[in-house]
Amino acid sequence: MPTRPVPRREFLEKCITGGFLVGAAAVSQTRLFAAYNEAVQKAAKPTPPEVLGPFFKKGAPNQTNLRVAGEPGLPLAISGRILDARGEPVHDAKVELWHADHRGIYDVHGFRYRSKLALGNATQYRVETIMPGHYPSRPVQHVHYLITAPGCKPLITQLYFATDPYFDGDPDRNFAKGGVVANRECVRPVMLLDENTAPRTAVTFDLVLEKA
Amino acid sequence: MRTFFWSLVATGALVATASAATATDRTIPLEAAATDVAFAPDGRSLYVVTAGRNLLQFDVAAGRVERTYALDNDERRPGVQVAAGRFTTVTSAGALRLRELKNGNAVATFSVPVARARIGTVAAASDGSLLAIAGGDPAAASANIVHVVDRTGQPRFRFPAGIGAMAAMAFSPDGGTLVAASFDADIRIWDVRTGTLVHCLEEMPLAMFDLDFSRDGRLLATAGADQTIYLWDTKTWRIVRRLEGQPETVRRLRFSPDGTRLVSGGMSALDFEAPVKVILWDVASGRSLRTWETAHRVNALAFSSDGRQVAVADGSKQAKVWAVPN
Repeated sequence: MPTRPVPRREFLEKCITGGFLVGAAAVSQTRLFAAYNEAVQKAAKPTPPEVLGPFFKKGAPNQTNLRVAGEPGLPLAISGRILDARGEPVHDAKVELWHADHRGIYDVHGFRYRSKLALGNATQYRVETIMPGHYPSRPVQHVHYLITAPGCKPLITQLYFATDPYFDGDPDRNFAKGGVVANRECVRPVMLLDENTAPRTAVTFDLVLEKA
Repeated sequence: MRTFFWSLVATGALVATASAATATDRTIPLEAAATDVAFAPDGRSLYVVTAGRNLLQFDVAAGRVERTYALDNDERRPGVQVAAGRFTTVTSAGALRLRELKNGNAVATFSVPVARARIGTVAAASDGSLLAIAGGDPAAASANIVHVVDRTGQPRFRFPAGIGAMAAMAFSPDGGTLVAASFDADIRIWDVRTGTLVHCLEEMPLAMFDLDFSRDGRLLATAGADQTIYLWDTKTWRIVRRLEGQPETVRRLRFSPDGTRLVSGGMSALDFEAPVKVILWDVASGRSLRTWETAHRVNALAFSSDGRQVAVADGSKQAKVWAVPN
């Protein structure tokens, strides 16, 4: 995210080319400058797309607790904000996510580890689930996402985990290994929590949508 | 074609042996996994294309490779479109190349505007007059498009095609309809004469991995992750029959030429190198008639023109020809 001060000349040029100087006579240049800098600093890079994958299933329930009683798996909380490219919160988003179980198997007969969250006025999402397993045909842990929201382009992406042994402890260097992961930004740090109970993990993954 | 090899010499390992199961069952060892197979119209030869950039012409009766054509180094994902006497490859620069089956000569190379120059699924009309080419939409990161072009690459139509990559496409036998199954689980049906979307079948919850028209065009078979084969009436676009019993994801399926039978091949979603079943079905009753096994997931299936043999290519380095029981 760029934070460098914008030179006054460059700022004015941007305002002129962007058409922002219409009616600006009554606004001081200082205020204009501050507004512009604020916008630049809030701006967010759109989340990069990844492939949908072959195991998307329509009709997933709107559920925030994806854990299944009695099924093994390291507990994982995933949360994040839904933003547009200006950094503004996006309302009425639908966040669909699905992943394999701890063995690496997708549920094609039911909806285990599948959810379609209808966020309404909320602009953040959170689910409680488990860390997905590895499977030989795609040996990296991942969670699939499909996000839609009014006025925004649909986004298909995936979340990966920096702790995944697949990255050999160095996701910066190894994220593209084998052509499985397209974007480093989708590999997120994992927080390991142990509050005198069983260990659990948490990941933050903001979703930044492009305007339609 | 830079190189032309006769028979077994250049590739070394291309010695074909007859398996013991029946007189006409064949196993064809390959230097790399086969990506597609197709019988020649006379049924004498089987064409096999491999990930190792070779096209083999295999004499089924004699049980030996007759010819091998080596593709160029920039070519990958070869697929056979035998009815039109041609096969297709995708170049590393993102172009589609058409080659003659009879001599391997390149007859056309052209590009279509898809995201990151990555061509996805390709289908050809049975007379070779049209090609459908799927890929990402350069203007929208998570959207896909299908280009329909003529045999020289001249564009006819450009269809928006949902949000998932295309799993499979097929032209109807009369060439008037294009059906595409997307990983977004929708099946889209276009009239390629008018360039309009005529149906979007949205009732499938999971993606269909393959589809095939019966030769008379009356039925469309689709199958995928839910291990069920669906037969659709192509007049009403309603499901008329379900064939159940494949123990894995159905990755490939093909109708027999007379439409009375269908063969399906599986894929373990967990491990592409796990053994899977190939099942011969009776279309009218929905019963399975014969089950074979392959070492890895099935990449391609083909019936001979008389329906008496079926060829299968899987992820292992061999292709097989099996006799179909009466």
